[in-house]
Amino acid sequence: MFLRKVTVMRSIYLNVAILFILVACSDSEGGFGSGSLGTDGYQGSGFGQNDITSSTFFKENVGDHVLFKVDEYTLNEVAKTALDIQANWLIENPGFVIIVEGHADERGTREYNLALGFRRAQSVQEYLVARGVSGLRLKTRSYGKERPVEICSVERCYSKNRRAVTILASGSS
Amino acid sequence: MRLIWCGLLTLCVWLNTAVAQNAPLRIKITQGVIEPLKFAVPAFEAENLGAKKIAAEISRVVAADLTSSGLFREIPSSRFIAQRKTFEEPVRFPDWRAVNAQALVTAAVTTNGSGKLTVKFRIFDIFSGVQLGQGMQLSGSTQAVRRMAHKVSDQVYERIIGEGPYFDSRIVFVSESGPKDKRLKRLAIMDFDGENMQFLTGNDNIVLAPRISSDGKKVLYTSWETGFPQIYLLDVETGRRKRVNTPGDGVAFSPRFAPDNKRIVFSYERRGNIDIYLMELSSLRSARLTSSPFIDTAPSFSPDGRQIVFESDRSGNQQLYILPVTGGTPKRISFGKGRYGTPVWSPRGDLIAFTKQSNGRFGIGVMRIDGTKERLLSASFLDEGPTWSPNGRVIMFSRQTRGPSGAPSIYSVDITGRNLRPLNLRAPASDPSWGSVLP
Amino acid sequence: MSIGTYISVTMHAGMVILLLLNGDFERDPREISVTEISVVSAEMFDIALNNTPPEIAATIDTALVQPTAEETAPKLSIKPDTFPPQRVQPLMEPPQNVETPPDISDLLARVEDLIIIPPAELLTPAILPAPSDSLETSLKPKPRAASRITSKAVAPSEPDVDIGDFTRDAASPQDTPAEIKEAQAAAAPEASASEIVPEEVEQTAALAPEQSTRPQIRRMRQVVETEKKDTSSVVPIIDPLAAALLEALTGSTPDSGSETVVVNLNQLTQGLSQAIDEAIGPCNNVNMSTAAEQTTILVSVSFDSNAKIMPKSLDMVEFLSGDAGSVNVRFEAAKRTLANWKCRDDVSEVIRGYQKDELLSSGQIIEIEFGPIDQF
Repeated sequence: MFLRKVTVMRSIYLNVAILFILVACSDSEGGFGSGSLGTDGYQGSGFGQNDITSSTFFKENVGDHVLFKVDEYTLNEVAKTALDIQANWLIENPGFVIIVEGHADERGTREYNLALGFRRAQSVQEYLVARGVSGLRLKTRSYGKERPVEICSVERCYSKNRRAVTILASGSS
Repeated sequence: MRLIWCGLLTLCVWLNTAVAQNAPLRIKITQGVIEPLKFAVPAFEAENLGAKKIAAEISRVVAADLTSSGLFREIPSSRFIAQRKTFEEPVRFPDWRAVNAQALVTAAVTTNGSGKLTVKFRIFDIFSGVQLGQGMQLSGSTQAVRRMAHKVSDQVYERIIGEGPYFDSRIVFVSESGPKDKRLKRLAIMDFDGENMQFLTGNDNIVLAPRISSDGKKVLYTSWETGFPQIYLLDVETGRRKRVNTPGDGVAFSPRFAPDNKRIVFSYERRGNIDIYLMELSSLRSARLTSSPFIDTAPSFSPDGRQIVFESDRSGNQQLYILPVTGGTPKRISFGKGRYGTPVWSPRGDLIAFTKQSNGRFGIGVMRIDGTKERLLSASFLDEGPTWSPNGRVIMFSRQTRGPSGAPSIYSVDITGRNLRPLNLRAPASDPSWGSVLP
Repeated sequence: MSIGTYISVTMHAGMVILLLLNGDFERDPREISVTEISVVSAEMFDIALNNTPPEIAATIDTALVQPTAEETAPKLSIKPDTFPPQRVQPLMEPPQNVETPPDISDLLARVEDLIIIPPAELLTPAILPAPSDSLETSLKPKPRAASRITSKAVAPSEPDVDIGDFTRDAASPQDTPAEIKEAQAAAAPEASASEIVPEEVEQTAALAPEQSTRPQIRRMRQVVETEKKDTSSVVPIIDPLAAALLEALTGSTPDSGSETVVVNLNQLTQGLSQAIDEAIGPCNNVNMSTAAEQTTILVSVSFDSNAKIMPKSLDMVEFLSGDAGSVNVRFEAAKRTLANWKCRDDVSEVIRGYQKDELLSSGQIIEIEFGPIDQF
């Protein structure tokens, strides 16, 4: 009886996971991936969406970003909830170094948007630390308005660009 | 005694009447127009066969420079009455007056076999019928053709308009390519008119906000090549660069030179707090200039190196503040509706240029250093990042178009708000920084 | 000549002689000397270019990264070659003699800080106005308030310069703004030498006009900007004794009628001023440097029997601060403005209208102030 339950649970879980993946991939190009250059996107131990300890899994299932309102860097309730889930996963998977990356939409001057990006990253970092993630694992950076995920010039795209992304790097760096 | 009184009386009357009767009538002119001054650049004389092409090129560049300023208009050669064959022949002033020329530039060009070039020129005030100032002779290599032409235009411009020169100068900027979400950016340098472009960095990481030193020899910029923003100092001539290490565990970005090129200011982020720091390049010692919990960024030096202007959102939204480099309380200078950012102090010291955001539009503006007389010089979907010409008369900035295919280009505008025009570059460009006139 | 005139003449002469003997008119040694006005246009000024050499940046240490782009700025070099002078030969026109309109400088007694002895000619009949005439006490020099006024954007037409009729002065060439320090040339090594040495232009040959003696600009005083005085206020007759004398001599009653007359004149003067402003505006090309545009100059010019401005009579009266170069740029622009035949025609129309009402006499001087028009 117990075994059957577990199997059912597992297949449900797998189906839901596949659904998530399909949704994620069917989104616009770039989607919620970590579109930035450089040192991010490292694979954790294991690979593929089946491995719940992988960074891919984190990206696609746990969710690696939160959004902000115009000119703001404070976290709303949706963001906090998302970060709670992130925090849990990060604590469960201590092998990763974390870079929190802040971004802004294009409706601002260059330096100010860089600063805003830093602030947003900082808000996320502070929240994660408050939720128990070790500060030693965390670094912040900003790309300002240089790396939008959406390139149209209306609010629908802007709102997606005002974000902080939690990126995983393996090992200690 | 009575004689004296009578005399005084008549003197008074006389002063009141006879003198007053002949006192000049005083008129005050309050109206005016702004019209380009007409100039003529007849074909420059080539003193030897090899110089013919160069002579033609120099005359074209001179004409293009003056026209690009918006303050001059060229009289086409098809309208000339006088046909000049040689440099030394006398100027037939009535012929030039007849075509309404106000200024005339004559020149002769010589090349020797081994890549050396000489240009002699004279400038004439046709209206007054005299030569304007002294003639001059320039010499250099044939590679310096355009620079020589710019030097000639600078003389014409300066002697007639009275402003300082700016044509023989260079601009460092960011050359962009690729889609909007995966932009490739490289540092590049070019002449003020967009010619002679050369890349300064090869890698295509994100590079931002290059700032040229006043002597045109060094460039400060921010690069993400390590994954994190870092400040770099690049030598224009050799192409070598070095990272400028800033103290502590924070992140520095968007640096600018002081007028003496020995110090820099930059924004410094630590734990989400962004403040402005001053650093001495030789010793790498730094001093903190602002320490508010707000975003203080985009600093720019005054031409005497004693103050900075910067933007801060400490009052609720981005506004401009002035602060002595020795420290103190920042003084707010912008008070209009909207947000003010990227302030840049004019090399003349009289004005501050900035980006203003209001009603969903961005524009470049100027104001006096006390914040008065604010004027907008441009407005569009996204204009930002002004830089001043060496004579404080012209401003260049980035203009980005909207949408997925939106791309930036560099524009210039006169501080009267006139002559807004794009720089003709082959690729998208942004973040211009205008260097001084070359010696 | 009337009895009154004779009395006036005698009294003036007597008083003046008396005062002279008493030494009341000796010059204060602190006074600025006033030079004669001549009718050739203003002298040239030195234009000093701010030409500080650029500072050397801090040297950089060894590079962390291999050099990428090679960048060499082509260098210019100095060569102090002798530069043969330009033969300035106006082939078509005969040598220009600068015509001198009647010297009216003496008539311009200035009621200012300096007291100028009125020359003998002025002691001839001071024509006291008949009762119907207006007293022109309102034409006293007003403080030079350089207030800013916005300009109207007039659609620019093609102003054609009247070829035959402008001041032609072949004064010595202005000093070049790019004056190079010879020391700098000597110090810098050949390879990096990049300065420009100006040629020396000799004074020229036969047919060229001689170097004109440009008069010293009379710089009466540097006026600090004052608030704009209300020009419509009435300026009453100052001295009741003078009024009494006037009454005695002319039979008019100034107390009753003069104030109204003065008011009317003020308004008429303003009207005239505005009308001329309108007429000259379209030719006032303020395309110049910021510094020049913000310089104020006062020029004087007289008009001929056809009420047309005589450009050759243009002279500089005063200027409000500004550097010498800017003042010169301003003055040159004023020259061009007042030489424009179209505007001169318009102005002469205006003036002729006022001459009909006998408010202006032929040959009268008008002073014109050119100042900032707030484009910067």
